[in-house]
Amino acid sequence: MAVIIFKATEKCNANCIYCGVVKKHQDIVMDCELLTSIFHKINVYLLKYPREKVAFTWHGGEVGLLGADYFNTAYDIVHQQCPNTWDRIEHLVQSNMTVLNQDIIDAFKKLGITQIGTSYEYYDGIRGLGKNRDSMAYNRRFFQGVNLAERNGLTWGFIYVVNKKSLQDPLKLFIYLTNLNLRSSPMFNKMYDYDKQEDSLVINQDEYADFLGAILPFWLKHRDRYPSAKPFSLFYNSIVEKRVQMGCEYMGHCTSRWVYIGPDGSTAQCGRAGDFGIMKYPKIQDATLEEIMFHKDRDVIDTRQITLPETECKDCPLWGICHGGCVLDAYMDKREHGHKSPNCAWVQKFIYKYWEPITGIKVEMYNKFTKKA
Amino acid sequence: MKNNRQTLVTRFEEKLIAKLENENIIITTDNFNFINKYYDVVNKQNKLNNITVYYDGALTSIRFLETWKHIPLVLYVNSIGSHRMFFHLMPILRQMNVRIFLSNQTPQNFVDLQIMASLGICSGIYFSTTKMDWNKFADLQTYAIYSKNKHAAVEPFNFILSNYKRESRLDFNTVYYNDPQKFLHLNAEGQIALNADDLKAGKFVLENISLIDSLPDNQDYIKETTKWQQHFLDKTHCAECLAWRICLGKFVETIDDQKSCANTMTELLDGVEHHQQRLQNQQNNQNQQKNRR
Ligand code: SF4
Repeated sequence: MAVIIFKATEKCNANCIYCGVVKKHQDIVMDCELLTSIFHKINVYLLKYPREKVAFTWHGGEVGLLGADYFNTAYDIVHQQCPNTWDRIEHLVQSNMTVLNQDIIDAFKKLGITQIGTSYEYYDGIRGLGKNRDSMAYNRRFFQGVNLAERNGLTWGFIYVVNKKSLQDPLKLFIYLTNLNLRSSPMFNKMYDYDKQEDSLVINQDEYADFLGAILPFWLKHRDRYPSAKPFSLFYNSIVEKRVQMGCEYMGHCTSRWVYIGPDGSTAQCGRAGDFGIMKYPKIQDATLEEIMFHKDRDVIDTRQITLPETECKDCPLWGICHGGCVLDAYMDKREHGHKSPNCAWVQKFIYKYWEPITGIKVEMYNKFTKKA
Repeated sequence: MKNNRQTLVTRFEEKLIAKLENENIIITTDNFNFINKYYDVVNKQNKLNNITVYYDGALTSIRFLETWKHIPLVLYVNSIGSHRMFFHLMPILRQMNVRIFLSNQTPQNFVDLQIMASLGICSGIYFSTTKMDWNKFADLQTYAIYSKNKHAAVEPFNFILSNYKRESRLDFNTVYYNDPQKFLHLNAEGQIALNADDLKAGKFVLENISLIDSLPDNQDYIKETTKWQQHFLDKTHCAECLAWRICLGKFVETIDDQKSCANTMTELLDGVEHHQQRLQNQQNNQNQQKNRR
């Protein structure tokens, strides 16, 4: 499955502290001509790879600002450009829910979208509308969006970005957020440090591990109640059930699977690469999708999977979970792709300080070619 | 009967009942004199779900008639009354299709609910005061969920036990007909309110039943069915409570320093999950045995 993180706009009505996109202050909206050409290229790609599928993720910015007409036009374009492959394109959407209306929801449904990915914040002044980041106004609109989606039979899942304030009472926060959406528990992601301007809220590796560690015993006890709370469920499935399915950052196989396409046609390895402005590939106007997906600059990701187990990750029993972490983080940290991610520090602390002592389960997921467990 | 439609809760109004067709109906009353008539009239072109009698007195002061035996009855009474008289009532109560609710007003009622359940009478607690004896509530809950002795259902524990799903909020107000997704309240003219309080206050959302298809888009209905979200906007104790999913803040007015409600309701949640797990394990074992055969 090829994953396209598609940002027809990077405009947003919100002003969240930890968002890298909003700081770009981009107002461009992709025009129909370019949109048409992208689906044409997807069609060519899918015709060449008849067993391949595309996960086309509408991302932003806030996609709702595109309006229903944009999505309806996109629907028409897909069916014109991809007459025999449209059913191998799965549309997904990421939205802050605050500007959704019935027309947009109808357009989503037409595209076959059944679930909306979103984010939510407990503490005030972090996610919000306007200059002052009005969280109450944001949250009210968020719930209106949720209600509209649910009334239309759409489900929603969300990410929580762990920041300095989250450390005050991790368990209370966990309970609040899991109460908020009983169908789908959140993914607790570490806050990224995009430009260090707001670094009072950025947490370090130790703090993130401690945050997760504070919740882990409770989660283990009530695993059946919160089966989808991530990353706990990911660790559990990988270590106990031997179904390794960590997030993309920890799988080491994103090489030719992901691509970001921005409003002006610029491309990069993935959504975060697009936000950071790194690991860029040719503009979609100047290359086929295949050329971008298999671009030679991506080889560093595969190479890293071969070199790391011989070097920085040598004999690490956690290799099978983390695979050296995300290449983007490694690059941002050392300005070179070949290193392990600095997130290695929280993974190690979480496993050795919390997981192993609490569960009594030792993690021995060595690289099978360099070390036998 | 109309599928997936709310059950209609109304006082008996012959003209109104005659206008309804194929509806599931609960008749509420405070009068025992016309029980048989209600049953016959409602069942002509609708289905009587039950007759609910709100009676300001003791159970033992009700004169139960043989002719009620086939009629589903729900009784809200203050207490059971004298135990001696209650035991005299047992033979006829056992033949009735009845569920008896006692208020949380007195500690004795909690004990009496347990007695009734152990004698095979379906029963339940209703909340008429915010002064809750949480110890007594917890005792009753433990009995309702864990007792190995055969006993009849006790509400709202039975409802929670039978309907809990970990992926959705469970509103046990359903037991008391205060859930507009399941029950609507009609006045004599057929105007529709979302719950008993609104009915009393004359706050109606629809003028009559023919407009029911517009209910999902009705702003008051949306507000009522999403009012739980205010807890999250306000970050109340309830939004941070482990038992949220089965309580939804019903005891918010009773919250004390010991968080008695949260502790008791969390025990209930644990008990319910434990019960479901046990059932699941039994089912798995049976399946395994079947497969082996
Ligand atoms: S048990 Fe108490 S704190 Fe918990 S949801 Fe109910 S009323 Fe709120």
